[in-house]
Amino acid sequence: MSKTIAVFGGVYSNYLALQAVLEDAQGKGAGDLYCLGDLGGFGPHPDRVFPLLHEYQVQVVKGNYDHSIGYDLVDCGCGYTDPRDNYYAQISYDYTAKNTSEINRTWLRTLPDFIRCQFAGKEVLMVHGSPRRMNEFLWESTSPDPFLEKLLERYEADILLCTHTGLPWQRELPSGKRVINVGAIGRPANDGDGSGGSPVQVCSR
Amino acid sequence: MVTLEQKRQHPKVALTDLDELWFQVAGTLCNLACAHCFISCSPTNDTHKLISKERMFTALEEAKQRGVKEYYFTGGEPFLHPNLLEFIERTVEQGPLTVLTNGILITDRMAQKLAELAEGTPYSLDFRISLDGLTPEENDEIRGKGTFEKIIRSVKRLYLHGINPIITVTEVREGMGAAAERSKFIELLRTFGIQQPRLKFLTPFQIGEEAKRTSGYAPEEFVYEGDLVPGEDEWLQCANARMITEKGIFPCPILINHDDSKMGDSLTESEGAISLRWSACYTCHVSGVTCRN
Repeated sequence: MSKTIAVFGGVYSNYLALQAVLEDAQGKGAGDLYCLGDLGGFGPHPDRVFPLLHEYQVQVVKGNYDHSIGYDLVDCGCGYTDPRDNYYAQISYDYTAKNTSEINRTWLRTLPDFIRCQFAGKEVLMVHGSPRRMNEFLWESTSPDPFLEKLLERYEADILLCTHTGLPWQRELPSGKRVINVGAIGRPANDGDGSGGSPVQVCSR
Repeated sequence: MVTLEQKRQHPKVALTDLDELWFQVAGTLCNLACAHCFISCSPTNDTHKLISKERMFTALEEAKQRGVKEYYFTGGEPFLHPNLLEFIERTVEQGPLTVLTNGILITDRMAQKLAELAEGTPYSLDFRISLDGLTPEENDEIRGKGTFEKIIRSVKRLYLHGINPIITVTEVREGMGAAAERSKFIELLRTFGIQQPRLKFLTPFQIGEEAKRTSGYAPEEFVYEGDLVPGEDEWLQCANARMITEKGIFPCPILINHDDSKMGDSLTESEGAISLRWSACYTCHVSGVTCRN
């Protein structure tokens, strides 16, 4: 029997995008729904995201944003290297921290750092950044095959699903294993031409 | 409880993962002789010779086996190496590469070739160009007479060919890394038509020429057991980087003129932990600086 799962990342308080994605995934017959973290930030209504995740029984991996908000840390731990990025990120983080309810913070603390499942006979590992670090950026152009092969072997996965960078890409490695960055739905990748991108990654057997 | 005896020891940092591999491509040979150079590179310094093809290609093969994440070429001035283009071509086949340069030797023809190489690889090919001031007076005091204009010319040339270099600024004057000063560099780069300027600021190391320019390290400026904060032994650069010169493998790009920091001749021999026993380690500990992008 065939099975379809839907995996997405980066909600960033965009509950409208989340609603659209969940409806789209369901419409396409996705059974299990997974979110790879970073629920808050940037959007004006952080608390509107949580009821939707519960309603659709989305399984959520903890992102760095969720970890920071959950544990009331001083910043988002996004791992930016440019002070300009940190300056703007802090404004958004402080707002999100102030507008996330205690009950939702408590829930954020319970989220797992990774989820493993089997899909089409393959070992699937879902993380926010990378298997070894929640805020490691796996960009397409800076994640070479030998490095990814090492990670997948070490963490015993055939398919690695991640987000954090917000830019979707996927690659089959020489071993036949696969890495998929599912992108971000709340602030989807765009190259300035307004076309956006496919906000959801649906895998089907 | 840290005892006085332990206090005199230096902490050790284990190699958690070899993510960054540095190549001292041009050794200590450089077309410039900057006043702040921590390894005193110059047109006549051959302490570390140009890297040989054999060492380069052997190391690249080893690096592939070990799943290295990113590569860096530095010197001296990498564009003095006659085989640089071949090295770049081979390296970007297996991972992202950043070349650290003063940019001056990048001709129009060379910029064109670099752009073609960048276009032809799935991995990123970046160039870091050093600039140490906003004006010819500020920069040339450090990098040499006439260098400001030559550097700017190269920056514009690369940009024209579709390469947006990372401008690397060493904080040779107080406050250069502060937000207001950074903004001035961004504004300067925008006047050249660069819409999204890329900048990296580096803390100077008080060794080599820089020790002569300033006062060098004070006798107590070392890292001692108990000084590291939680997690620091994982984010210090030596926890995930190594440097290859024609002489062998070193813990990081900064320590190559400390012969006693040499770890061996192959990457396998450089897997061990290193002791933070050099005064330059104090700068990484205190400022959190890293040579990576």
